[in-house]
Amino acid sequence: MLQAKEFLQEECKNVELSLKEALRYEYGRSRSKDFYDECTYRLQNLKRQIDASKASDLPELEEYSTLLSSLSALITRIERSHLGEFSWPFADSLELLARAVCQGVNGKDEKYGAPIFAISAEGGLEAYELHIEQGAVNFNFKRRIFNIVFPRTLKHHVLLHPILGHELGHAATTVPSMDDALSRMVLTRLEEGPLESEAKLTSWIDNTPTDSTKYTADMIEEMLYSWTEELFCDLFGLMLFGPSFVAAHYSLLSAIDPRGFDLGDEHPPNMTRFDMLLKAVEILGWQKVPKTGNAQLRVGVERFWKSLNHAPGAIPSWATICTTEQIQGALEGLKSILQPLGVAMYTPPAKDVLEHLVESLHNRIPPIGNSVKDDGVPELTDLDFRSILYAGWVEWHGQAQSVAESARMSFSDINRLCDRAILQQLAIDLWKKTGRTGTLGAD
Amino acid sequence: MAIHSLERRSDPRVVCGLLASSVLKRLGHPGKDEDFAVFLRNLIRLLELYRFGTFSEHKHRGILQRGPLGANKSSDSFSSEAMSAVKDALEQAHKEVFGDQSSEYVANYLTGIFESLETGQHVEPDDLELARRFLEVLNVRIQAQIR
Amino acid sequence: MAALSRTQIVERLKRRNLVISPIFSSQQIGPCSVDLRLGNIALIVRARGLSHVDPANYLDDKASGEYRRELGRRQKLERHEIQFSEPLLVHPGTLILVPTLEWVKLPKDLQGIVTARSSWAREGLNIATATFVDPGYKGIVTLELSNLGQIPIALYPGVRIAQIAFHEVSGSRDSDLGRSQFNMSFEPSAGEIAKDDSSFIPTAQPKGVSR
Repeated sequence: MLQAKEFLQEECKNVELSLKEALRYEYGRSRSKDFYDECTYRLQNLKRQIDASKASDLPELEEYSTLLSSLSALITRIERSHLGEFSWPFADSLELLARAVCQGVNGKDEKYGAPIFAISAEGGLEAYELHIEQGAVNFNFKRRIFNIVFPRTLKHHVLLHPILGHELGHAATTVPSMDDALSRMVLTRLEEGPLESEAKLTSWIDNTPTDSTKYTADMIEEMLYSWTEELFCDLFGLMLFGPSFVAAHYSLLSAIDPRGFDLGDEHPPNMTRFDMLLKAVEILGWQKVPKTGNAQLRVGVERFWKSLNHAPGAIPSWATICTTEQIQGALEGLKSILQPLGVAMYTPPAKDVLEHLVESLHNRIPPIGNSVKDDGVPELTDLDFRSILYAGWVEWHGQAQSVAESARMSFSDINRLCDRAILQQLAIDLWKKTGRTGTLGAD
Repeated sequence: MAIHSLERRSDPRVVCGLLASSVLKRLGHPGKDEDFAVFLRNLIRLLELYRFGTFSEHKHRGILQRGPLGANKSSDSFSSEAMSAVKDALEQAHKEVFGDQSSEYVANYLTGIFESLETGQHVEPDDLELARRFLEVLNVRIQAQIR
Repeated sequence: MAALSRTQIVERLKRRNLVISPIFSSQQIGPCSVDLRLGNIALIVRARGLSHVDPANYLDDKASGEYRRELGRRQKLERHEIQFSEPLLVHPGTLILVPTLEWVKLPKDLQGIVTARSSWAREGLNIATATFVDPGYKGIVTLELSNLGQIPIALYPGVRIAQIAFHEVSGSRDSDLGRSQFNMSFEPSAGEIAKDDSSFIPTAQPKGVSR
């Protein structure tokens, strides 16, 4: 039989071995080292703490056991997922956004420094998640580790990955100065109307086509807190990823709950979320169809928004939980927080850029910022990967108008073209970063 | 079915106590101790929570995950209770050592001291003494909360 | 059959009649060819779990079963994804299937022929066979790399390892392209060595054949 302290000392050795074993695989060079170094430090620190503890320090031993277990679970989760199981170009691009939103307000207040983003892939459609290390209060973290999880089967489905913008909203709230700013400037706007109190929320639930008697007072209390945060995260994802977020959100949530009426203690009904997002998009002016002679683009944008806007009456009136004024206030708050963070906030692409991207896709070419000019001199342009995603959705809808069904690209093919484009655009960025200009003699 | 019914979560009260006691042990004779710098950094982070009053420990599910109604509640009660205890202990230490000063003042003041210690810079004896007293009171108050 | 000149290649690239994307530098376009760069996937042929390559494993045959067929294909090829600035080591005697970084789209009147760049060939890096790219092709080009030297070679995604020249194909029609005009190639792939040859390849349980 082993006593608690003995067992923990033994387990430290086991966890160390599994961490070393994890190095057999490829995770991407910088991530691998940072992750390894952080886990090694935490493990060695825990070992020192356990060795120094007395067998009678029961609360401490229990805490060390929990921390060791969490570390072991994290290492195993990462060990199982290596390059090849998720789209690393998308993950790299997402990481830039994630770093930006996990700084403090104005990019300077986060006391831990830049977090480590470990990427993994898991089974099941519901795998989209960002595991935040549980513990607002920690004692042996040098850096925090966020684990971004992609569904294994949707590896190349980059048009659906913007859903992770919602998860980045949760991540942002773990930075104290951001949490404070978001609470004051965004969540307070949402906490009006039905989300103002348990009584008002109960009254709202009574008007839904659901059996309201199954919700206890405890559940209502949980809903009040969680629903506000979930709705905020939806707006956060929208501001980060733009129209692609709405499309991904609708596609995935409808697959889980097609009717859209389910009330969870953590997540509000889908209809309520769609209602809020469509109002938000209207406020932001994103539904405007560009004035262009390019029919492919014009029709694609029209059909894209048409597919998301429900027919009048399809979103029932009970589903509205936030007024347009509330949403406008929340969006203004979000803008003022995200704008100083550089790359974080989505900016709609210029019309000619979107035209070029959609046309490339239509011609079955990955949509990137590259063309050949006179005398073979290439033009290489910067391109936000979120513009590629929006172009992907526009072409998916646009091709239905102009292309015979047998000749249309599958959703999977459009995703793969966009995934390929994100990879190629990373190559372009790398080329440009080293000062190459594409002119003669520069290679 | 799991052999143990409790979902295991870190106890912020125990962690707070460990932080306070670990830093206290090393105050005055830090040496070249990597752990000391890390504990100080985590203490500074705790002070950030205190400065902004953001003591939430809410666990969320992934956006597409659904679970049985009420499943989140039991573990959240524990977390809320534990985080409240940490907040109370900080407030008591604040009051006893710094009186009517604002939480922002206290957080800034102590962060300055801990950052100096972290980087090996000199700290005035009076400042060090205030920091020590704060940590002592915090440790005593939080130990009283640990089951 | 004349190869396209630089002027002709550039003209078609400008019009997007011919697509090689991305092109980083005008120096990538030679007098009558375009350099191609290494992509980010390597399929390394390994003798793990298989005694030999058997076309019977590639037959679309219900008797042998999908499990056996897929196992035969997948086990042979060890797949690695390689990020930029990470090396791919090509050891002597290894055969590796890699994609190009570039996406290539050919019109119906051009055929592409891919060969190794002579600078790498002098180091021992060989493109095992001259790769033909059909008219109407869309996708990455799969290259078969082998190291004929005695020293491992480190390659990095993005370095130029091959070149493609173009020849005009006369009299080609859309119907000649068949379904391939809609297909796109995103991954390097092993060949279909048993395709259309099933008459000559015994299955695991031969049907009605007496010996």
